[in-house]
Amino acid sequence: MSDPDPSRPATRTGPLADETAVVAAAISGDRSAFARLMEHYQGACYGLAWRLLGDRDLAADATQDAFIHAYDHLGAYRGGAFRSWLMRITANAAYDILRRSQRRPTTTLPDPEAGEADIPDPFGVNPVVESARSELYRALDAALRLLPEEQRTAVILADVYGMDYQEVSVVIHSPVGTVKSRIHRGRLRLRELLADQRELFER
Amino acid sequence: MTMMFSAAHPDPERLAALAGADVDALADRELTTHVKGCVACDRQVRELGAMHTALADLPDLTPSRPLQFLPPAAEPARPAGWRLVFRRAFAPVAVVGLALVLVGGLGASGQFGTDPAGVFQQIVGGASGGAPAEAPAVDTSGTRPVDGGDGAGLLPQTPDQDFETESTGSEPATDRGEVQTLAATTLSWVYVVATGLGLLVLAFVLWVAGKPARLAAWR
Repeated sequence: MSDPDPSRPATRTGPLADETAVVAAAISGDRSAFARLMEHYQGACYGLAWRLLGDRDLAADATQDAFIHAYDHLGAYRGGAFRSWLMRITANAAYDILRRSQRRPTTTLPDPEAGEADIPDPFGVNPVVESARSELYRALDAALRLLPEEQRTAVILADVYGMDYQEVSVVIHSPVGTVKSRIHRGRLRLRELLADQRELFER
Repeated sequence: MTMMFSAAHPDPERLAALAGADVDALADRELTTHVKGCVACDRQVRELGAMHTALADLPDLTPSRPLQFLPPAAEPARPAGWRLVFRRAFAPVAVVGLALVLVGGLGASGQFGTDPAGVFQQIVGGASGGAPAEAPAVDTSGTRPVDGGDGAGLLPQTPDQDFETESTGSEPATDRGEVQTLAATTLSWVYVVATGLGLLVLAFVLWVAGKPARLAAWR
């Protein structure tokens, strides 16, 4: 696994070059192989969890929960993109935490409108790469946080992480029709929120 | 581009679906035809489409602190095979042993009289609230009672009475028979107590043998 080129913006984590073999080794009980997969995909899982939860610690907890669940259920992996499988598990873990935090609101999520938005820099410690794309991503993440939670969850799962309606429906325990409606309304609301920053999309 | 249709604009949610390449929306001819001919709707779909593309490009994020894979803590070693059998056998053996010691102790002290059947009668009678079974009385003139009262369970205090030589009448013979019955009954209760104690010892052994995890944890 090579280090990302610091001069280029971070993007989506792609599959490992020898992912099929690594996954097979992990399924057969090789813990170091599983640890390698987790190390590789932790940014992807953490990103999804953070976008759903809006809190670093909760996102780290959700990611850890997802890793443990994945480790316990490796036998249920039936091929296909390992990243997608892991993303579904992470979405479930994050959504569970979201539900729990709403039932017991002892942990207050930061209010994005109160100026406490804690949006991580997707480019890590490389401020040099702050660019138009970076600005766009920051604007999108900030706008996502302003969406009503139900719409935000649906939009993140479908539009950001590419899940289909059925997959989103399973994660959030809602009918497909409801999922569609939330996604579409979320997109419209997002467009309104980004109305003043349209130039970012034209660069 | 000019507006070619004066019909009402479609539901914005349909436009959002179209921007997201929703299959149903793409197959909706009326919708797609309208958008092609409507500047406002076309612009809206383009903007939504650009936003949709940008969302799909959002990068992964770096955790504020590196996450380490922590495999689930190993479960405490479960007793396997014979250890499991020992562990499961401990409780019933201990309960039975304790019950035998208690019942045998009460029986040996004469609580149930000299008639073994009285045990059942007393237990059932006591449990059902009825009167306890009547303990057999022993006519022991000149002796202390063998059961009941304050002398419960004691043998007749007739040291000079020779059962072997003085069994000429019907009364001495009856006394001898009663005493023998009493002695035999008491001995039976002693056996019961001894069996109970044995089971308690066995239960202790089972408890020790079935606890390897605790010993391992001390290391």
